[in-house]
Amino acid sequence: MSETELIDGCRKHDPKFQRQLYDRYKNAMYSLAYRLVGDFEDAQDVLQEAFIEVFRNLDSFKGESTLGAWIKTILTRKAIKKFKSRIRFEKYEDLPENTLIEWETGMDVEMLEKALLSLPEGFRTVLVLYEIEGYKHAEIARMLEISEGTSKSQLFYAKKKLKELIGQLR
Amino acid sequence: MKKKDNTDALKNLPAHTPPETVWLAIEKTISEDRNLNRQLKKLKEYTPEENAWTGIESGLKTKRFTVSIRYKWAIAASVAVFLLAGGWLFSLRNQQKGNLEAVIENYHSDTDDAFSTLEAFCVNQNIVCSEPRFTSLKSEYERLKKEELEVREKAGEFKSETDLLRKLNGIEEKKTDVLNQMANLI
Repeated sequence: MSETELIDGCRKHDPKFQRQLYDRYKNAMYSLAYRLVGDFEDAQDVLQEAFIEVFRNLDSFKGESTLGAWIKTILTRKAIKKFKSRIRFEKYEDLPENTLIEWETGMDVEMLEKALLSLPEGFRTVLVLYEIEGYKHAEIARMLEISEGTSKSQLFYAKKKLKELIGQLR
Repeated sequence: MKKKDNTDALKNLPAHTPPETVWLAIEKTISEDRNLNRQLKKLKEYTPEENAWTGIESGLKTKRFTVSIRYKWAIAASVAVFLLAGGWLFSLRNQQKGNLEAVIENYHSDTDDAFSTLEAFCVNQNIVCSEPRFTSLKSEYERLKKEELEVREKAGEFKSETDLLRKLNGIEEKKTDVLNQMANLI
């Protein structure tokens, strides 16, 4: 079924189409929610709230981005709203001149996941949004209500910390 | 015309070639970033439990926004009443000095009324009410309610009705704050 057919069916509030749309995106969205909030229960709450908003507001989807990107934005905002009060962004001076961090090519994925989830929330959020989800610093800054500079420095220090955590997990 | 001459001169400034090390540094950074990015893309996907869909279905059936606005109004009204009640309590203090029992008898918690409204709302609305943040606020409210009951039971131990009222008002203020947070989640 094409995305247009799926959207049309959902706009008519057909439960069959709604379920299909949910099934198409549930894993990607749930995984993103989990990596942002760091807890399966909270991730499920975020997923539910996001999809309810998606189905209620599908008429406002103008197709300016892909449907997946639109859902992702809604879900990310919901997740941020959930943990924003407890998130802390460490203050850093300007970025060092050399921001190069060397990574091994064959990193163990499970270890990487573990280290990622152990990162402080401020670090993890920026890293997930930038490196995995492909948002730009300007977009991350808007969503988290921080400056672009803070987003950039969080990313650098997040990577540094991630490398350190991977080293500890070995 | 002199201006034009200057512009031409600026355009004719010689170009400089950066040292090869600049490109090598850029290439190295890009390739290291790619190494991390490639691994991050390999992270596994998780599947939500089936009851996540059930929650969405029931959420779509609930006329959530109409209801929430109604309840927010009820709670906002109770907060306003509480502020007035605070004034009433303190005026009562001045009129009935030396009568701790009368204070307890006349004491009415408006936030408890609003909390009951919220509980009634939760009977038909299970998404927000079952969220961890909401349940933890609910527990906090119940703890404060218990604390208030204990104070009322021990009213006789207070030196004056001023102290008693101050204590009760302090608890009521905390309850109002918790209630407002709960209302904001709806």
